[in-house]
Amino acid sequence: MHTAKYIFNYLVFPGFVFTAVVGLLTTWVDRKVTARIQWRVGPPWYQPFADVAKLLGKEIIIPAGARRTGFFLMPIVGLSAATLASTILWLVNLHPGTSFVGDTIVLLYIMTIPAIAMIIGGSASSNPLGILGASREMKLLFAYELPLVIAVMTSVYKAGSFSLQSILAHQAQEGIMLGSFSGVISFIVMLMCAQAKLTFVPFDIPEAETELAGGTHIEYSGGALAVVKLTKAIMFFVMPIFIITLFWGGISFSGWRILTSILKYVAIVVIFVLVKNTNPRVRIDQAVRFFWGPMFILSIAAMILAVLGH
Amino acid sequence: MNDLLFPILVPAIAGVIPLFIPRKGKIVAGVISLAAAVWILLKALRLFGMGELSYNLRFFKLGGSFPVDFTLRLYHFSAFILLFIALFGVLIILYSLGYLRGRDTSSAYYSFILWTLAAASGVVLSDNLLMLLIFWEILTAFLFFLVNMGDKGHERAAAKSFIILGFTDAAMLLAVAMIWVEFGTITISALSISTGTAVGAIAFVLMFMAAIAKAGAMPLHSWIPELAEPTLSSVIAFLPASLDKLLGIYLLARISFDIFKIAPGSWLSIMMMIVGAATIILAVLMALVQHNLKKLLSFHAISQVGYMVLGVGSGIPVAIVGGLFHMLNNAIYKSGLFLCAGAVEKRAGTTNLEDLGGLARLMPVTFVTMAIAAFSISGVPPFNGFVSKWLVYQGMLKGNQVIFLVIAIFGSALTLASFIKVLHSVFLGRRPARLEGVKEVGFTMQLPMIFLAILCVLFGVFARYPLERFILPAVIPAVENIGMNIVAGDIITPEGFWSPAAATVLIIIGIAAGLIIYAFSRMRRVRVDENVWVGGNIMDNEEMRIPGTHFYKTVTDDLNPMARAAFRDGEKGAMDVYNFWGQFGGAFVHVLRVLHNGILSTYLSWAVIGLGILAFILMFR
Repeated sequence: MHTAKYIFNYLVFPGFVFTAVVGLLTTWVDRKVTARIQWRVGPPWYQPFADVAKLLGKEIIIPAGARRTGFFLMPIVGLSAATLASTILWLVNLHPGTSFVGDTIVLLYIMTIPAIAMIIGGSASSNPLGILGASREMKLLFAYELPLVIAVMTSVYKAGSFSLQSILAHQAQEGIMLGSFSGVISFIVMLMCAQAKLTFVPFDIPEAETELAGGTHIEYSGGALAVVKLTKAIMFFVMPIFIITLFWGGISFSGWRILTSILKYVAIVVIFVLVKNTNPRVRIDQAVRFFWGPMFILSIAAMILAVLGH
Repeated sequence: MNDLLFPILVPAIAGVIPLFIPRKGKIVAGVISLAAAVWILLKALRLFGMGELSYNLRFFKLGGSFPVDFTLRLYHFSAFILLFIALFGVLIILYSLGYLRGRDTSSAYYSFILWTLAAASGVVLSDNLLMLLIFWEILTAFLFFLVNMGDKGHERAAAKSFIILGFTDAAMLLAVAMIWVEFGTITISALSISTGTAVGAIAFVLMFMAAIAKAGAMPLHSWIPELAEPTLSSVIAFLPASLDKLLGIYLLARISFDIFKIAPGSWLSIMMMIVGAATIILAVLMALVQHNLKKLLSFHAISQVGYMVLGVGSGIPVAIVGGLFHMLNNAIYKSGLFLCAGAVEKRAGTTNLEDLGGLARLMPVTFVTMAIAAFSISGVPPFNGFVSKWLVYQGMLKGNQVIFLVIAIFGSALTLASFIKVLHSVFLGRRPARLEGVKEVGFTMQLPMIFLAILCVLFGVFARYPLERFILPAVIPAVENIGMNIVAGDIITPEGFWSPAAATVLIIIGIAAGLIIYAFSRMRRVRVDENVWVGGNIMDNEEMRIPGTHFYKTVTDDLNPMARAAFRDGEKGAMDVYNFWGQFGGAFVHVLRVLHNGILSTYLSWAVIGLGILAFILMFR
C-alpha cells in the first residue's frame, strides 16, 4: 500500500509529471521575461511543451566515437535523480512531520547527480567541445559546492538537525531563517550557488552556447535532448523550493498560504532571471575565484554569526 | 588444537610450499595458496558465529617478571575483521593467478601473501600488546618483500615504507614498554588507562602514530604514493588498500575505546579530528593533480583514511559506527579500484592517464566495476561509501563540529572530481590508436572485481545488514547508547534519516520511466555519424583527443602562489616527513663527516677526551 503510494508520489504527484509540468512552465516564464527585457514578444505558454514533443519525434544522430550505452543512459539517470530530489522536497512541505527517503545531506548529494550525469554524458560524446564542457561543469561543481555546503549547514546548524522536517518545524516555531543576519547572508550565497547549479548566465560556462555550442549536450539530439531539457526544467523548479524550504519557511497549500508560497517561488525565479539577463558570462577561473573567494568568506561569516547565535 | 590457532598456523605452514615451486610453475603455487586461503575463509566464517573465545600459552618470563604470553582472544570485532582479511586474501590470490601470468615474478610471492595473512590474523587475534606488536612488525617486513617484487623504482619505495613503518613500530614498542612499566600488564583486555596522566597521553599518541602510519593518514602517509607506481597492483590492493586499512583502523579503535578511553571533546579527540580533517582535504587536493592512475588512487587511499580517523577519533557513537563502516567500505572499493587499475595496466601496458582513453567498449567489465567503485568512493548515493560518510556527518553535527562537517562534505566533492578525471581519461574520451587491439582481462581477474563491485552496491542499498551484523556488535560493548536506529532498512538518527532501499527503487523506477520516454522517441533508428563536427570543421583525428589530466589545471594553476607551491610539492610527495627527516639526517651526518677527517691524531685526541670523561664520571659516582 505504502509502496504504491510512494510510487504514485514519485511518478505523478508531486513527482515526475507535476514537477515536469511546473518546471516547463517556469522555463516559459524565464523565456517570456527574457524576451520582454530584450523588447521581444516571446513565445506562447505552451512553447516548452511543444519543444519537448517535437524533439521526441526528431531523428537521433550520434558521432561514431561515442560510448553509446553511457551516452544514452546518463540523461535518464539525471532525470530520475532530479525527480527524486523534487519528490523529497515536496512531500516534506506538503505533509509536515513526515520524512521521505532522506535528509538534507541526502538531498545535497542527490542534487549533484544530474550534473554528474551530464559530465559523464559529455565525456562519452567523444566531441572535444563536449569534453571541455564536462571538465568545466566539474570545476564549476566543486567551485560552488564549497559555499553551498557551508550555507546549507548554517541552516542545519541553527535547526540542530539535518532532517528537512525539523528545519521546517524550527522555522515554524522560532521564525524563518531569513529573519536573522546569518540567514540573510546564507540566502544570498545560496542564490548565487543555485545560479551556478542551474548553469545560468553568468555561470553557463559548461554550456557556453556561443563558444562550446552547448558543451556537455552538444551531441545530444532528439529524445535524449528532450530528456536533458526536462531535467534542466525540473532542476529549475527544485532549486527555488530547496532554498525556500531551508531559509524561507517552506511552502504550503493550505488556505491563504498558497498565495504566499507562490509569491516566494516567483520572487526567487524572477531573481534568477534578472541576474541571468543582466550579466555577461564569466570565465571558469573567475567563477572558481568568485565562489572560493567572496562567496566562501560570506558563507563562513554567516556560519560564524550562526554559531554566535545571530 | 585450539580453533584460534588455525588462522595463524595454517597460512604460515602453507606458505612454505610455494618456496619449493620453481618460477615457471607458479600457477601451481597460486592454486595451492588459493586452497589454503579458501580454507581460512571458511574457518573465519565458522569462527564468526562462535562468540567469544580465548587461548593462552605462557612461553616464559623474561628477566623473571616480564611475561611473554601467547594470548589470543576472539570477540565480535576481531572476528569480523578476521573474516574480511580472509576474504581479501582469497580475492587477491585469485586475481594474482591471472595478473602474474607472463610476469617474471617468483613463486615466493604467494608465500609472502600467505604469511601476510597469517600475521594479519595474528594482529587481530592477539590479546597481548607484545604479540600484537610482533605480528605488526612481521606485516611491515612482508610489505617490504612484496613491494620489492615490483617494477623499476621498487627499491626506494620499499625502503621508504620500511623506514616510516619501522619508525612507528618503534614508537609502539616504546608505548608498550611504558604501559608495562606503569601498569604492570600488557594484556589488552585487562587494560583501561586514563589519558589524563602524562604517561597515558604519551603512550596513546605513540600508539596512535603506529595506527595512522599503517592506515596511511597524514603526516605519516608518504610511503603509499611512493610505492604506488612501482608496486604490483595486486599487492597495493592487498596491503595499503585493504589489509593495512582494516588493521590500522582496528588498532585505532582498540586504543581509542578499549585500552584508553577517549572522551568526546577532549584534546586528544580534537587532535585526532584535526589529523582526520587535514588528511581528507590535503590528500584529495594532491590527487586532483596526479598523472598516474595508481598514484592518484593512492592519494585517495590516504584521503579516505581521514573519514575513519575523523569518525573514530571524535568519540561520538554514531561517528564511530560511521568511521568503522567506512573502514570496511573503503577496503572494499579501494581494493576494487586497484584491481581495476591492475587490469588496465595488464592490457594497456601503462597507467599513465595521458596514454589511455576510450577503453569502456573494449573492457566493459573493468569499466563498470571501476565506475561503481568510483561512485562509491565519491559517496554518490545509494552506494556504500555514502552510508558511512553520512553516518560520520551525523556524528559531526551531534558533536557540534560544523567545521569538520563542512570539510568532510567538501572533500567528497573533490573526490568525485578526481574520479571523473579517471573515468574520462581511462574509459571514456577518445581512444589512442595504440590501444585498438586491447581485450578484456581473463575471468579469474574479473571475478574479484565483480565481487567487490557487487559488495559496493549491496552494502549501500542494504546497509542494515553489514551494520547490524558487523559494525554495531563490534561497537556496542565499548560504547553504550549509539543514538541510531535501523527500522525496516531505514537508518534513523536524531539528526537525520536515510532510506537507501526506497531511494534505489525510486531511482530505478525513474530510469524505467526514462526508458519509456525513449521508447516514444525514434530511439530504434539512431544514425551514427562518422565524423565529429567542431567549430565548423570536420575534426576527427588523434589531435582531437583530450586526456583528462589537465581538467583542473585552470584551478590548480590560477590560485594564489602559495597554493601553487603546495601543488608542486604535491606532485613530488606532498608534505613528506620522510624527505624532511632525510634533510635533517643529512645535516647531522654532515657534522659527523667534518669530525672524521682521517687524521690519526684527531681520532687519538677524541679517544683521550672520551676516556677523560669516562674516568670523571666513574670517579664522582
